[in-house]
Amino acid sequence: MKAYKIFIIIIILAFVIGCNEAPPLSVEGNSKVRLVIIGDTTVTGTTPSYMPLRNAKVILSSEYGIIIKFTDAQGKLDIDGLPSSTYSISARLQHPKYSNILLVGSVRDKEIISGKIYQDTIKAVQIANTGIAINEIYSCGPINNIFFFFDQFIELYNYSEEVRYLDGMLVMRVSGNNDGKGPGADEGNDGDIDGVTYIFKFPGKPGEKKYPFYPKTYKVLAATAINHKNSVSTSIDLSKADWEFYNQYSTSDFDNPNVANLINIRSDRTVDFLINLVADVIVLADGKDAVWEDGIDINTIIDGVQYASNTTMKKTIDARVDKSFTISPPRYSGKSMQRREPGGDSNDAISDWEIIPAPTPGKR
Amino acid sequence: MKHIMIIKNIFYSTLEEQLLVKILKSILIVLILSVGIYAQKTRTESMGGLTYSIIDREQSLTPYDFGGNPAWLYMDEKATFLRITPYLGNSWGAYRNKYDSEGNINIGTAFHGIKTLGTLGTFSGYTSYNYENRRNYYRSLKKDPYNGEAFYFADTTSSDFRYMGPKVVLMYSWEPLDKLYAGGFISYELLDGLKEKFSYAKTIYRNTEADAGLAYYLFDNLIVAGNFRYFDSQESIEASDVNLFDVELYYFRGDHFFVSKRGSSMTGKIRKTGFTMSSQLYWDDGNKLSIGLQANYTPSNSKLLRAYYSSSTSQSFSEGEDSYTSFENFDVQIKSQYKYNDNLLLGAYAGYFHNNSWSKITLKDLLIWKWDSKQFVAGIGGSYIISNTLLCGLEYEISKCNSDSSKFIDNINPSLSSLDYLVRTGIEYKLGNEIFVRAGFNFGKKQNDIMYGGKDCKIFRSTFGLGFPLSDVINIITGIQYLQVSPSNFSNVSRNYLNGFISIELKTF
Repeated sequence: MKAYKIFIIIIILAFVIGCNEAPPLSVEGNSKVRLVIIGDTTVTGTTPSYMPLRNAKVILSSEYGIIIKFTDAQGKLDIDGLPSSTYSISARLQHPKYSNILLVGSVRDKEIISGKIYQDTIKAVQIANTGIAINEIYSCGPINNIFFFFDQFIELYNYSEEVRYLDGMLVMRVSGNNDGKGPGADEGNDGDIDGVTYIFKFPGKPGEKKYPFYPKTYKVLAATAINHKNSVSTSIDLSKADWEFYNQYSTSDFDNPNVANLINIRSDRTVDFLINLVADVIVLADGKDAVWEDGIDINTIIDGVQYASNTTMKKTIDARVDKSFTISPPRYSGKSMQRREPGGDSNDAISDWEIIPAPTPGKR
Repeated sequence: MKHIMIIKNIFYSTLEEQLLVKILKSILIVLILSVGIYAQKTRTESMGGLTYSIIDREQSLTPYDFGGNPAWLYMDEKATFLRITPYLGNSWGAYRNKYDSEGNINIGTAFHGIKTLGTLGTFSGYTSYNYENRRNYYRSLKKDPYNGEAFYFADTTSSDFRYMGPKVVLMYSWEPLDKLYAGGFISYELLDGLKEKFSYAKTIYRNTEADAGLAYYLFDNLIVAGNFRYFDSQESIEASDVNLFDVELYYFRGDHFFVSKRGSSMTGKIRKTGFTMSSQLYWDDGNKLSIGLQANYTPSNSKLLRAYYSSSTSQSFSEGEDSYTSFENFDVQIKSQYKYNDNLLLGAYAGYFHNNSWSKITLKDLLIWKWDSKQFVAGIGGSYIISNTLLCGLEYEISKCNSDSSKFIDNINPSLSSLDYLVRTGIEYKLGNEIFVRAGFNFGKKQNDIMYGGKDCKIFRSTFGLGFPLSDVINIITGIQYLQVSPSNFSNVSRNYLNGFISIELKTF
């Protein structure tokens, strides 16, 4: 009978240990979103005049990636069946009359819960037109297995209707201030961003007009302006870049004499301008504040972008420069980051930027 | 891939039907895997797979052969033998699912020995080593992508994926008290998997099982038996590219939504645990009629674990549960054989299978998939000894399957019903003293193919085998079979399987 008892004990134990959980009462994929997008289309006067934005692009971003929809003729958008997550929603539309004005509105970190309806009205405002935007960042390196990533470049785009001038402008890598709020944050709330680690400058002084930047054109700023295909076949040719980062304090930085230089204004940095492959902050400023030690005045910043490898990484760049960060491609994948529309800058990187399969220096 | 998608679009008018096929396929895989490996049906496999219309020492209705209860090993196996079985299998064809490989090659060798120890009991040992190469396995890093869970674990490339490793089963049975038989086994399987292209994922799969059973002669011709089986498997996956590239993995929740994660080294773990409670009844009138009955209940669960977890609200370096799937399977089966006269044996079989499952996202505690499937199978058949040298058999089986599914996250709620039939025929011809030639043929039709999703599928299977003695103590049994499944609503598409084995049986060791 002993065997019987053992057998019964085993069965009872199995019931206790192995009992499965009860299924959840709530089901996934049952969220509903009801949005109305209105925009301020005023061109004269100071009183905003909001009207529904027809065919506005609405971008919903969450851990599941990005969903892009368009509003109907009444500026409404209904979406059913979304999975529960924390969403950031932005809406954008080119001004009906002025192509250089972008109407942008957004809400951030909204918990959309299955079984419930999320309703909101998003007010789009006219984005201040700085005219120049960082349009493409190629940081991850080409496909290779020898740690090669020296073909990095940053591309600028003049999306305004008039000629701009690059004289005295600054291009910065902001990766310091890690003991504080993080790279690109306003440490001390004194109206500037902190953590500048590399700062390179266009020739001239702000306000001068020696280096024109014509409307609807690109400028490619290469880390090293050579044909990198000679080193790695999967790389790119940057020998015809418009500008080259040249560190005059370095003994080894190669200088292509046929390409104009941005020069280093931090003498303690003696290596070439290189940016992190998958996570960094890049800032373009007009150069009126070049004293990087106490931070760069936010009012002088033309554009700034933070990129990161993961949606759960900490966003550090000041919200006045950009409200979010974009996702970078994997290291050594040969992919690049580019704005969805040339110069389309709503100061909301997650919806402004996308990953493209290959870098496109100087073009779409 | 485009080709496959075109095919699928023709098979199914809706995504719902495609989804349901995946459910049913997973059920079938579970059923196939649940077939005991301890009783290799070497003889009947070559005779078209006859199962209940033939008298065969490996196909009896006892708790061991029919129900897999180790307690009855002592009574079932009365002779010592060692069987060495090298085998080779290949499959190919465009008729497959999204996360299937283009084809599989299986090579291995199995050793199965029975040692009778007189009144001390009977010992059975089984060990095998298997090599499997999945050609152009599409993205999935899971060993079994269609096992009923709502989660896929994928990277970005399709590539050959090979699995290799041993399996060991040790079984013992004895008679502790008069008319009471006890037995048990432990099983351990280890597979090492490697993806041959980016992301060069490595898999360590281990599966352990333990079983304990009792059987009792209630009356002289009635045996009641029961056994309890616990199983635990774990699949650890690590994707870490040797060329410094970042690895990007996709945790699919349902068919469309996924969370992608990236890093120089990404890991995931799938753990499945559960148990089976089985009971068997065997009655033999000692003359003409015998009946075997078994019922099995298997609750189990599967968890997808992440080594590192972070979200906008929490962050942890400890292993966390990403998703959870619950399974519940119940079946009851009955087989009977009636010896009409010395030459004619009649057989019948009926089975009812009920499986259900649900999956949730653990962190959010939200149900994302729920499915339920019921299948009823009935079959009759007979075998006839035409002469002293010729035996032939015929079986006809019909099955009806109904399944409902609600994939909440994808807003897909399909229902599917299928009425299928299968005919098995087989012959055995005695050429000379203990020299046998065996052959068989199957034809079946499936209204909805639960494996790959076609409609009105035709199944052809032909088998051939030889059995002959090499000496007084060595028997050779060989077999080869070819199986083709092809949907009738799309020409030139099929899935083909070719398998063969040679079994060398030593009557003493």
